[in-house]
Amino acid sequence: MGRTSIKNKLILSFLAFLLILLSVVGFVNFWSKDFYLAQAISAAMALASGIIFGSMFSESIVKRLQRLSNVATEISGGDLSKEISMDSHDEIRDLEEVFAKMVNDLRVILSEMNQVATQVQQTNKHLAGLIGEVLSKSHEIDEAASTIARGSEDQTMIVQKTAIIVDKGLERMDEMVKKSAQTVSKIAEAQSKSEAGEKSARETLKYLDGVLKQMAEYAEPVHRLSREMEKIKTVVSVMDELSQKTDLLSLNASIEATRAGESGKGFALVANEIRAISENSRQSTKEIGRIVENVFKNKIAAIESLEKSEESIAKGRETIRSIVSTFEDTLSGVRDIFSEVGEVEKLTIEQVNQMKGIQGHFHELSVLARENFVLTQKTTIGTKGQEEDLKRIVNEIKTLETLSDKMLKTQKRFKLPGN
Amino acid sequence: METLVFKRSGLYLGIEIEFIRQVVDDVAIAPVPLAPPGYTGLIYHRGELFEVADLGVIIKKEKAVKSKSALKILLKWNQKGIALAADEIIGLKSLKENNNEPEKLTFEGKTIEIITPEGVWKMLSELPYGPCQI
Repeated sequence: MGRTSIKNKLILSFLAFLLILLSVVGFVNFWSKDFYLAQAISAAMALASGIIFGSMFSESIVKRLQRLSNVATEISGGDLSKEISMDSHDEIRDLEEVFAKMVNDLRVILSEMNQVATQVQQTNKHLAGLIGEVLSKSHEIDEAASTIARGSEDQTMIVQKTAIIVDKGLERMDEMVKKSAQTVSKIAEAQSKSEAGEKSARETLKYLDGVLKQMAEYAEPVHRLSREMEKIKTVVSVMDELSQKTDLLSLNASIEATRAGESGKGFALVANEIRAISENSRQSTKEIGRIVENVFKNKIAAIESLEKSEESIAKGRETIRSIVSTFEDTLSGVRDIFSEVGEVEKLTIEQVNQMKGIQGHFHELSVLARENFVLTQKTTIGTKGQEEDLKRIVNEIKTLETLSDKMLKTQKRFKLPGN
Repeated sequence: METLVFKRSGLYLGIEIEFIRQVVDDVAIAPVPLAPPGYTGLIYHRGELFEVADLGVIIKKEKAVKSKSALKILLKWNQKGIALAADEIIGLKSLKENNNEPEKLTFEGKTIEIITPEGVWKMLSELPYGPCQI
């Protein structure tokens, strides 16, 4: 429906009223012969109609305004549940709409206020719980900080003690390094002595080889003599056999001569001479044999002595070879020990450096522990300050809660639709 | 009386030269099966057989000692031949007879026992049959 203003309504209504009045006046004038009467009647009717029309028109506007005023009064009393009826489409309708919008906005605001107050209350409760927890945690932090502070104090003490022990250990390790250096020096000396010993043993071995070679050269004539003696022995044996044969022959000749009696006496003499020669030859052969045997025995003794000497020298050579081997082993062992001790020395120096690094770290740790102690003290102070702050926050929350309560109470003064 | 003195197993023995054919060495001895100890075997020398006797075993009743010497004294009498094993020939000795008893001979302080071929033959013949143990 199109919008019609009050002014237009009034003009249209007036025009309609005039039309009706003119129609009535016309009708009265038609039916009455009296002009004046007709005019009087028309004027009376027009005045009556005007009063009626005016009353009706003003009544319709005043009634709507009155209704709006009533609603406004109720709203000012806090009742926002009332609805504003809107019938026409004039300026009052605009006022009604604005008023209705204002009421609606108030409703929304109140509702939001209610929600906000409720949320503030809930938040206050949650905040109070959180603050309680924070306070509890703060207490815990305080206790933990105290524990850490004590721990830091202990840690500082331990670190300081450890640093002292490390210092002592470092001193000992320095001594160890010095001793290790001395050991290395002694081992180097032992190595040079072992090398000298090995060299001497090798020279002795070489010399013994030379002696053995010379002995073999010296023994060669003896062996040659031995071979010659063997030949002499064979010859002597042949001579002995010959003398035996001669002796036997002369014996048989003597026997034959004896058996021949007087005629065989001359032959017996020859036989006896031959036998005597044979006997002499045999004796000589025996003597030669004995001498040869003695020489042979002496040769055997000499060879045995040489062999024993060779054996002894060979044993000595083996012993010296064994000594050389032992020297080599010892030298190898000494070299290994030298190398290992060198490694140990190197490691010890590295360890000393590491210990020095650890000492530095311990000092840093000590400083850190002290700083930690100070920081924990500060933390304790901070947590105590935090506690105070929290208490203040609690007070503020209480204030806020009071305010939210007030807000709720204020909001409850308003009656909203549905409540 | 000319006597040949010899040594066998430590015994000094003498035998009259008249019975000696020859003193030999290095003569091969053929052993006789089942012969008793002391009867060493047979020697074949220049066409004649000689029975070899070891008086050291026969007289001393001891085991035969292996001698370095292979000397054998060949005896020949009445168509019989005996060879005596000897270690060493000491030599020829002359014995003087007193009332047909030969004088006692000694060598190096030991008495020389004079033996005869017949005595040796008798000793051989008295040996038990077979190789009995001494």
